[in-house]
Amino acid sequence: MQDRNRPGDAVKSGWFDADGFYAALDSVRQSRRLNWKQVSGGTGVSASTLTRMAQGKRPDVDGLAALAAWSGIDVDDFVRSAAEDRPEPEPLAKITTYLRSDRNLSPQAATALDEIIKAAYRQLQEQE
Amino acid sequence: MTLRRGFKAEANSTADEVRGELGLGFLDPLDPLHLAAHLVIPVLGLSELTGAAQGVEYLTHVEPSAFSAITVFRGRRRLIVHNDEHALGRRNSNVTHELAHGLLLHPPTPRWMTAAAGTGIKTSKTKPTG
Repeated sequence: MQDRNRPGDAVKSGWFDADGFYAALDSVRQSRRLNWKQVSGGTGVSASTLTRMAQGKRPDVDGLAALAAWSGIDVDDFVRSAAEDRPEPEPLAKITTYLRSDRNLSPQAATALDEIIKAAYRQLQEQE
Repeated sequence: MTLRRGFKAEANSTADEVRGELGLGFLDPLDPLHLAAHLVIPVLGLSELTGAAQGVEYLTHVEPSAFSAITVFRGRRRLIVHNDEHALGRRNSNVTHELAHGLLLHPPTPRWMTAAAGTGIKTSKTKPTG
């Protein structure tokens, strides 16, 4: 998933902080009170591309240019030197739920769900 | 439920766009796992989840109606866990619902806030993990 240098790869002299760029883009979006659909409409970058970016995939250069032009973000600000480390994601599991249940969860089900969420979070950690 | 004005038109245009990317017409069946792969969102059935044997057993065999699907976040990255004990049509609906959250980039909600949003989790007091 991540395209950063892996052990055994040739070491590159710099890298693009796509996560930082995405966070800056999100800030611009929020300050303009827009949803992502409107970002897609304003830039021509598809909704699925924006979702893939959130998943850690890098945008192609045309998509990046469109997002930078639309937002006014300077892409150069996110070019990092090889020595700079990638920031760690916040160590907090967050969720959205879809529980199609018409009653409250039983305490047993809530406990079971806790266990599921923690296991899923560990899985996400391992994938990085 | 009242939808925001313009939402249906937006949803239709998103559906049209994404179906086009997948090479599907408006009435073609949509395989949620195909869509998930397209969006790079990992999807795990409960039976594939490791390290949660008791919870999986409970939600699979004791009270399977208590859990449909959930999106778990680490930073912005999301992973979907769903109840693969449910019937196929229901599973497709559950997973596609979560994928729609992903396509609309709905932000995560801490669990104690989800309770306030009325999803029915009122008994849990999950502390942040990590």
